[in-house]
Amino acid sequence: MKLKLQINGITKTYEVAPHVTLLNFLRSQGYHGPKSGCGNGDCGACEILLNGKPVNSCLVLAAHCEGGSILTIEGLGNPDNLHPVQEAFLEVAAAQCGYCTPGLILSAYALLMENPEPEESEIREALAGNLCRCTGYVKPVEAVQKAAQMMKKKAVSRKETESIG
Amino acid sequence: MLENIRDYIFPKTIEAAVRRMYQGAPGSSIPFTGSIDLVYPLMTQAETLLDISRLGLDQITQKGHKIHIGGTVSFQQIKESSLLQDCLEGMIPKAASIYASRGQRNITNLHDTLISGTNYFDLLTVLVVLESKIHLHGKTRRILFLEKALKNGVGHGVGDEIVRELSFIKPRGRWKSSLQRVAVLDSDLSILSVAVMLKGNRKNCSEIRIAIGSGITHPSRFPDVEKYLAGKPLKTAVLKEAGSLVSQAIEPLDDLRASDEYRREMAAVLLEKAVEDCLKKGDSTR
Repeated sequence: MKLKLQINGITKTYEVAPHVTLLNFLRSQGYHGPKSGCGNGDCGACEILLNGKPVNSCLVLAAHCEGGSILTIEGLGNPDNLHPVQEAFLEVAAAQCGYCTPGLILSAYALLMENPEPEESEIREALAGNLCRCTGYVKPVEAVQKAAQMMKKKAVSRKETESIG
Repeated sequence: MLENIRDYIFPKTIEAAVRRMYQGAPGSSIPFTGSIDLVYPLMTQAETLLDISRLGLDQITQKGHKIHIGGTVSFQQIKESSLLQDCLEGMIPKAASIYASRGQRNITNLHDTLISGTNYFDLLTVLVVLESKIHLHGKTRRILFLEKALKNGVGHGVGDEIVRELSFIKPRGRWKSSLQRVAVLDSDLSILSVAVMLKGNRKNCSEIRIAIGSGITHPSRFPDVEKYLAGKPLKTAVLKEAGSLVSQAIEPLDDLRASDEYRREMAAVLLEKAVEDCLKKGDSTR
């Protein structure tokens, strides 16, 4: 079946079988950021944003996303231009093996888009669906706090630039 | 995996979805909302998937004193609903938030929960204590109490009904409420959950509703225990007796999460805790 989708800002029409999960579809298209972990929605390694909301792509069929927009970690930033959440994860050393990191970062990003100044408890709740067996959760929580500060600073400096300009 | 699925359709109306459901053999076309999580067992027999996520069943509304939760409203929407937050001290959003993570709550809803026969969510326990009704659309349209639907099953085991919505009368008067549960972790499925709605005070229980779910065959009310408590002072001895009655009345599961014996004991403990919690929230007679 035909599937029209916007992935990381690029809209294309794809051919997909009706039973294929979004995770398998994305990986078959070269988006290797979403990882296959538990296959049950428990680990969050496959997390992406579907129409701006975090979902476990292993549990959603690709066909369901017809006409929608998807953000994977590849669309958030790139090595030359990291998103502040990615920068913060690097600076705080919130990643070890990296398998859970795309999911953690996208959960953090979705949270900060809705709530730019989250409490620690809100961060912990937002990351609750992303299991990490290497770092534990102290560093990722710190990274989200740092990202919130960085994004706030960026927003302030952008406003200042706009008012000068 | 699921290579039996040949077709994926977005029906334009509920009626079109229902017509399609009854075209082939029972279970060959099933309604669902895009996620394979709960509906997977039904999908293994199906040829056509009917995605009903775009039929406008994703609204939470209030009409008069009645609250309507559309069948495809996600658990995350329920968690974030200010309308539901305003009802019974937020017991419904609290129950929805217990389930898993945000990524899973965004793709889980009452439709898929109910047609798949999943009955262990605390949200169902709370909806049963609220005397919710379920609106089903299959060969015929049925409206029945959720408790009865949970007992008899929705979709006749082959997913041939659409859950249009759940509705309940917004509790009026001074109801106090409490949801108590026991689980290995906060975010884990409950071993047992008890929801209580209470009018009265320590000296006199004027009205009480009790629902127990998660670790029993299906979430249920306990009218005999409710009758026993109505009109009585809520003293320790009375609560102990009510606990003992509820322990005898439930049909607990015996599985890897807990033994049936443990669940019987916890039913009494959680009932007492729930009543005490309601009483702590103040006198609800005035």
